[in-house]
Amino acid sequence: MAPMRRIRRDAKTLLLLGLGVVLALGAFSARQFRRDRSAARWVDHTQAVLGALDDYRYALKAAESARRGYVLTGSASDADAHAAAMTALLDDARSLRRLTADNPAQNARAASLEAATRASLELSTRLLARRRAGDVVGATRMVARREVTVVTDRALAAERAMSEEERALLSERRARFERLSRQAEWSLAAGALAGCAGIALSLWLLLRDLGTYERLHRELERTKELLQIVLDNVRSSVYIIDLDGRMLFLNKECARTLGGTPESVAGRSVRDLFPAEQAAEVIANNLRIHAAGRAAEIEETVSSADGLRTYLSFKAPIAPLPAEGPALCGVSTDVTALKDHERRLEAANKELEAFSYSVSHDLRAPLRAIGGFSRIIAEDHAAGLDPEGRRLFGRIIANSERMGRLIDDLLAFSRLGRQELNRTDVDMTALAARAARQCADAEPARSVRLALGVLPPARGDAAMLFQVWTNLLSNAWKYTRPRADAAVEIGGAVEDGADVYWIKDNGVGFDPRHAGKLFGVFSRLHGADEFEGTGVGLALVRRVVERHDGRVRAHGAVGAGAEFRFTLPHGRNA
Amino acid sequence: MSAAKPIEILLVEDSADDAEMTIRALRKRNLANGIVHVRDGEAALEFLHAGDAPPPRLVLLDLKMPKLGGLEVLKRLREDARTRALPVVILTSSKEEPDVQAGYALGANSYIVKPVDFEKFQEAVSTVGLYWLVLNQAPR
Repeated sequence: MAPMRRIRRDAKTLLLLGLGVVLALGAFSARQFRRDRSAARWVDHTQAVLGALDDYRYALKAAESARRGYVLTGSASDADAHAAAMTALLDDARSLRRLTADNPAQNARAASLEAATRASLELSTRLLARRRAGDVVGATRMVARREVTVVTDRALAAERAMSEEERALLSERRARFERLSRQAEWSLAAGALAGCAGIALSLWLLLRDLGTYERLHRELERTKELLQIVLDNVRSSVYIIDLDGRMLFLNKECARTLGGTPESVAGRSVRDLFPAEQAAEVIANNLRIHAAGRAAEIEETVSSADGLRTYLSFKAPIAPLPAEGPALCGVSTDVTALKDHERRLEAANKELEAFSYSVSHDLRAPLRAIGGFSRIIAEDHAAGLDPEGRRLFGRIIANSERMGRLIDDLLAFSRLGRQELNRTDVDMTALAARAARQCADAEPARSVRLALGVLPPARGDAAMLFQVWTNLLSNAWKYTRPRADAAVEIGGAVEDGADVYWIKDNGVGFDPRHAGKLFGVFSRLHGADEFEGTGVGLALVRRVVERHDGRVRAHGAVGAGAEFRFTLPHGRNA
Repeated sequence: MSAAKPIEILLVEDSADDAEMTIRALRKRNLANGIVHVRDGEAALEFLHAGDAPPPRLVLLDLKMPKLGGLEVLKRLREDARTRALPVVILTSSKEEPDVQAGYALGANSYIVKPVDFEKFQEAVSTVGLYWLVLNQAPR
């Protein structure tokens, strides 16, 4: 079923597409967030550097004021404060170098800052040593000396350069962080949007497919219902049977003849339903049909709920069922009454044939005596008769001869009905030619123009078909007798799967109103004194053609010739 | 001329009319000098199997007869050593194929259907007579 396949394909495509889109968007968003997080880390790092620079600046100031205080007062607390500030300065400088390991320019600046710090530390140590030794003036002078301020200024300059650089980096990194944050937001929003669109599309497609499915389902249900109605109302047994004789499926009528309901009979074997011999025959029939691989029509006589009945069964092998394997579909119709009629009809027909035969047969003997003795009188005792007596005896003889021919034809006609067809391949061209030659030889004084084409071969009883040609051609010869330019045409063709043959003459023809009477026994359209004949010839033709399952028709008009066409089923084997 | 004249033809025929016409046809050809006519099958068997007289040269046998039919007569003749080789021609009105088949199967020498037409009948009978009595060489 194509629609169901489409639905399955749609569902699969949608699922794969949806999964793909969600995975791709997820991966993209994850990457955006990772980049954003690393940008944030860089911002933090820059702020840490700036913080360290602030600390350094503060510590530098603290160291300077502690140094000045100690030089002025010589207090121990100032000395301690100075020492702590210097330690902090060195720590800060070292940590700045570590922090700027990633940035060579800043790292170089941090190195010079550290160098300036160490120089400042050395100078301060010397200055503080002088003051401790009591040289207040020398130390005070030293504080104001350019030597000291230069060192501090160098440190400050390095710190400022670093700060500026870091601040520039900070604003740059902040901007990058902002940009990436926005991008991540957008990709999330886009992902959500795409997801929503995908869900909506899937829903729409699924709803559409569901509609198709529901429609198909409804149609299927309706078809099933109608089929069930047909199956329930048909007066034949309809069933599916496996090769072992198990009834896999059956209709009500079938169940009824088997004495149950479809539910109670389904799954049971004909071995349980029929006497052993009948079951064996049914199964053998089924096996034969299955082996031949072709549907067949057979007669089966079995004991059913209606008694011993004869069924005409049409059985066809079907594709193996998934669960039950190879099986046949059968339709069996009770033809018992029909067979009885047929038998009675056949018997009546036989009786009738036998009757007509024996009547015709028994009529011949006295007829021969009448004709024979009349002739003996005419031959041996003619002297004792006057001319009128002799003329009248002539009439008796002529009539007895005519009656003899009638009886002979009737016998031939009756024999034809009883005779079995002996079917062979028949060369109709040769048969027609032989019959035509016979006609020509019978009247050698006449010249009849004969046109004989190539005729399709036939399948039938050659002797009977020869009789057909003989009768039709002798008619053509007979009814063209008044024509000086008598012409007979014999033709044939294959039309619509049947072999068609025709004989046309330019004889006296017939009134088409009487065409129907042409083929009746003893029915004639001409008087015996006009054209001789008994009126059996065409009846015989029709009988032969019909026994070959063919048809014969006549066309003609008074004075315009006649055409006889007969058709035989093409290449029929029986 | 004399009773000692040998019998040449035995005509087995229940119809007096057919018998008369047959004899007349043979007489016309001068073939009816030694002819005996019996009216049924029993009489035919009695004639052929009873006496010591030499068998005829030809038997013309009708099929449909009262008492004993022609086919039964033929069967009995062929079962008897004395008449096994006797030329028997079936001369009957029956054109039925089963009769023809049975006739030959039982050993008939010919099967002739009596023509309805008198002239043809006369010709057929005289032809049969001429053939079997003049042309044919029968076993002694």
